[in-house]
Amino acid sequence: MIQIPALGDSLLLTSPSILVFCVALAIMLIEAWARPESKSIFWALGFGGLLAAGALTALVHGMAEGGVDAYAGMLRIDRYGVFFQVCAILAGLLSLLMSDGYLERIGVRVGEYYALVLFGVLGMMLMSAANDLMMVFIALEVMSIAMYVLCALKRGDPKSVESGFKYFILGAFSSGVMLYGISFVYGAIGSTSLQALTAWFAAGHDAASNSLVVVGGGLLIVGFGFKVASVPFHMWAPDVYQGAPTSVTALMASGVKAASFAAFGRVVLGAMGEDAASWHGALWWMSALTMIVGNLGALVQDDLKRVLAYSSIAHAGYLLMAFVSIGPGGLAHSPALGSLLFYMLSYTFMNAGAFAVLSMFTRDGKDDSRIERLAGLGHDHPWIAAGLSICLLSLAGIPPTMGFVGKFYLFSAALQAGERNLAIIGAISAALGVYYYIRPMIWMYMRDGHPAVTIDRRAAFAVALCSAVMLILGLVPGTALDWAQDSLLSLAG
Amino acid sequence: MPSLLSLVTFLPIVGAAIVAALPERAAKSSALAVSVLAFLVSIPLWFQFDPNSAELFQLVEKMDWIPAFGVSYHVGIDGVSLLLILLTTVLTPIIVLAGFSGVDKNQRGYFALMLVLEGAMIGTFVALDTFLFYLFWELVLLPMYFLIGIWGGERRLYAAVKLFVYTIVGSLLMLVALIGLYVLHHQVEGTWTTDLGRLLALNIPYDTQLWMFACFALAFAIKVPMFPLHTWLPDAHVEAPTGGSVVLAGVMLKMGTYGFYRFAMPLFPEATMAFGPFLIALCVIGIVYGALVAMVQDDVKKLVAYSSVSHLGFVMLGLFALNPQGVAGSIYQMLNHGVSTGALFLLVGVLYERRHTRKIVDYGGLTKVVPLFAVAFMIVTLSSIGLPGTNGFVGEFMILLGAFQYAPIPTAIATTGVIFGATYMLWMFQRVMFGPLTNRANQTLTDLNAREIGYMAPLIVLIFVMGVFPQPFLDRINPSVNAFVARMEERFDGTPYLAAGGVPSWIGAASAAPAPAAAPHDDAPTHAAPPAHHAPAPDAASGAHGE
Repeated sequence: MIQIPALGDSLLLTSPSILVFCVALAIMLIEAWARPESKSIFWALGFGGLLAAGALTALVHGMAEGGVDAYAGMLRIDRYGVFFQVCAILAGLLSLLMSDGYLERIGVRVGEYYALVLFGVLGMMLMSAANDLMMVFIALEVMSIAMYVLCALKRGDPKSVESGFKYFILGAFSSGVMLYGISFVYGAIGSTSLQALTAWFAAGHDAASNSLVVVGGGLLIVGFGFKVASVPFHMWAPDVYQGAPTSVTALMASGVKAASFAAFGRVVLGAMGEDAASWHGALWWMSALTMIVGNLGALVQDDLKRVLAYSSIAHAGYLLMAFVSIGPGGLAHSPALGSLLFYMLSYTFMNAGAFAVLSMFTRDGKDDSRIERLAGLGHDHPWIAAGLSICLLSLAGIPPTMGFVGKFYLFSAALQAGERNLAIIGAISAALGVYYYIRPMIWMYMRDGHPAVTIDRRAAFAVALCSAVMLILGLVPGTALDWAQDSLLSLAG
Repeated sequence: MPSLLSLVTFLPIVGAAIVAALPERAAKSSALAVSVLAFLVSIPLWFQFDPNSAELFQLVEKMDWIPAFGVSYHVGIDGVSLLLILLTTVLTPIIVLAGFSGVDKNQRGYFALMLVLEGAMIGTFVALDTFLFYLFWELVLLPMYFLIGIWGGERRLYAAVKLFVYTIVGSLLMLVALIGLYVLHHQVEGTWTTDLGRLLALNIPYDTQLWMFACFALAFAIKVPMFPLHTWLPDAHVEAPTGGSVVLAGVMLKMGTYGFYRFAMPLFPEATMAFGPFLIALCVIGIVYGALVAMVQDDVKKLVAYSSVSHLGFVMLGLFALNPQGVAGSIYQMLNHGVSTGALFLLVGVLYERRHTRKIVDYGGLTKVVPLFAVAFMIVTLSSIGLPGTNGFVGEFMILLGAFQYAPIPTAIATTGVIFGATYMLWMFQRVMFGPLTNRANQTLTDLNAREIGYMAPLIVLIFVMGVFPQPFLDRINPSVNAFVARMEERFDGTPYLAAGGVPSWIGAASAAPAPAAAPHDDAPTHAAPPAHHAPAPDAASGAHGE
């Protein structure tokens, strides 16, 4: 007996996404008629739209307790999803803060940009709430197609075009892999609904007894692995991240990652969670290798954007650690999911803060994020340098920052589940990683020079906001922790 | 109104912000004012601390901090932390005063970082919550990294990065062990807590102790530093500005030995026994090796740096003797080393500021031109050697007395370190101070000025006071040391390990089931001296030195 909730409820529950969608459309419409000198309206519209969507999300959060199905079960609005939606909106807002000035400096000033960012965020929001494998796929495509275009936005710059092209080819390939996986799962259980998948596993089936599910689940994990840039599916990330406009990279590294992890978690931990043992080995190795390769790779980079690209790979590894740390007690009794959410939130901020600083480094209309460009920043612009330092220290997991609290939480989840060796691998690779996070500080504070940096007030605000959040939530993380723990219950329920 | 301990901890950090906010020309005076104020505020600690109290930790403050993790803001001091705090607050104004000359750029930054460093170091000594401790522990690293990296010498970047990476590797592994302990407490007791007192109450299975102790010990041994993890220290010392070297040798290295004393050893007593012989061997190697390497140095600062490796080897040796004399001597020697080596680095800094060289061959015959300096240098040198009447003697004597009861042969070998110590220090002194005044540049050297006398005098007074009247200090150390030794002993007379069923299997070795309840206990005495060895009455230490 399928119960179809009233369409009105569905509309209300998805109102943030609908709002983002409408604003994106409005921007495209206005773009067609707007005079060239009135372009700043797009920024205002996009930013305002995302802010309003954020406010609506707070409203939905109140209604979503325990989780409500919308659109006949295609979406499930629950606190878990809302948490990631907030991450996506935050990533969008922070990216927009650094966008306006940056786009002007690199000479790409088009209204579509804002529409595409909003479409990207829309995809992320839907992906966080998707409750059906088909919906996961559609949301993924909505998000990805917007990102492909955004990566290649600097049409005159071969690197940007390479980035977009590479992302498109590999992204399309991985989407294909995922779709193939979905078809196997459908073949095995006759439905693409996550509820049906949960029920199938709950009925005592496991992957070992059904080779279709093994293949399907495996391909799904591969597809998600591509999207979150985990080893061995990470090859695209450094080039794509480096070539894309910096504001887009910031959105990719935090928003896309958050949304992909949201769906990854909902499918692998939620729906297939009963059978976690079958996937444990693969995920364990993915996590360990991702941490090691990401951190080692970053060590030898001289371009900060590439450093942050490898760092984002390494962070995917830390986050994957939560996937193997569920332990025998199940989701509800494990700190793993809470640590995943908390870390995702802190990663959104610290990563965006670092990219916001990079977005100020342009020369002759091109990115110029080589590490030596930072020389003397600590002297010339002490506040920007301090902000970048705080974000980098947070990425490195050094107290008293939010990144440290996040790592503490992740490691305690891993040890709680008995993954001592994985925690030690994580600690050693994080220790290696500290080297590349403190290297920029050497340039900023210990070498002389005068950096050619354009202080962009909105981007500087983003840096200030992110570093303030890192420090405040590093010292008193209580609220954010409560929120993360409250949000996971809907999935664990 | 914050209570006293929090005030002492956070006053320098708040002061650092003030120094940073004031204009550059006010940097010196404001930093001096803050550091002196911090010292004045810390004096009442000495009087409020009651050595006869039954409470081991006094002036305790405790409140919830991150309830979701069971993390609390929990601070308190015993005699050991009391003295280490006072060492820190005494040294900081001296360092600030020494920094009035020689710091040629961005003085605001220099002094602000120095004050943050002071607050963070005090924080590590007062923290009674492992999370809080870890936070301060890491916080110490950052200012030191910047102090070396910005105000250091030629190869400062190399030295700063080396210091950072070495320390962080140990720290992160310690973090894993610390979280492991936190999780273990939850699995056994059902509550989440990072409170040291409650973690101490845990019975930790033997195999678990081994890996956790290894992680903790690695972090602390790097900080001490113990052979063979010491290689960051000479680089850091040579490149650091004078103030940085003083604080590094004076206080930061003690964080490592303090870490062993407060955390690694009491938390994992059986593992301490198991690793004991190995660590004692490293101590002895460090003592002799450090002394021999110091002997062949041509750079005064590097010589003092290697002498620190040797001296800290003694401190560790005393700790691992696990009897009241050894441990109390080791604590006392921590303070002594802070005073004497701090003073040595200050004096080397005085020379370096005048001549911009630290090579021994560039000097010679200085007694003739700088008599006051020569006297100060002589006193500090003798204190570092451990001449009776100076502080160094008391500590070294107690350590050797304690360690000999526990491990006679290694102690006998370690004693050669004392002889070598006298050799390299006196030989260096002779080459720098005596002989003909050959180098023309040295003829115009000026003697200590009023400011330099001002900051050397308290240290020289301390050298004699601590050498002649150790009792007030030992009175404060002993209750804590006795509790420490008692805890180590009590774990060897029959306290059962966790029953096999209660131990989550992962906590032991990856493959094996938890250690059988009795087996490790039967093993322990073979690693260790039997409890009878520890038997000398706890007040032997005060008795031996009472007269």
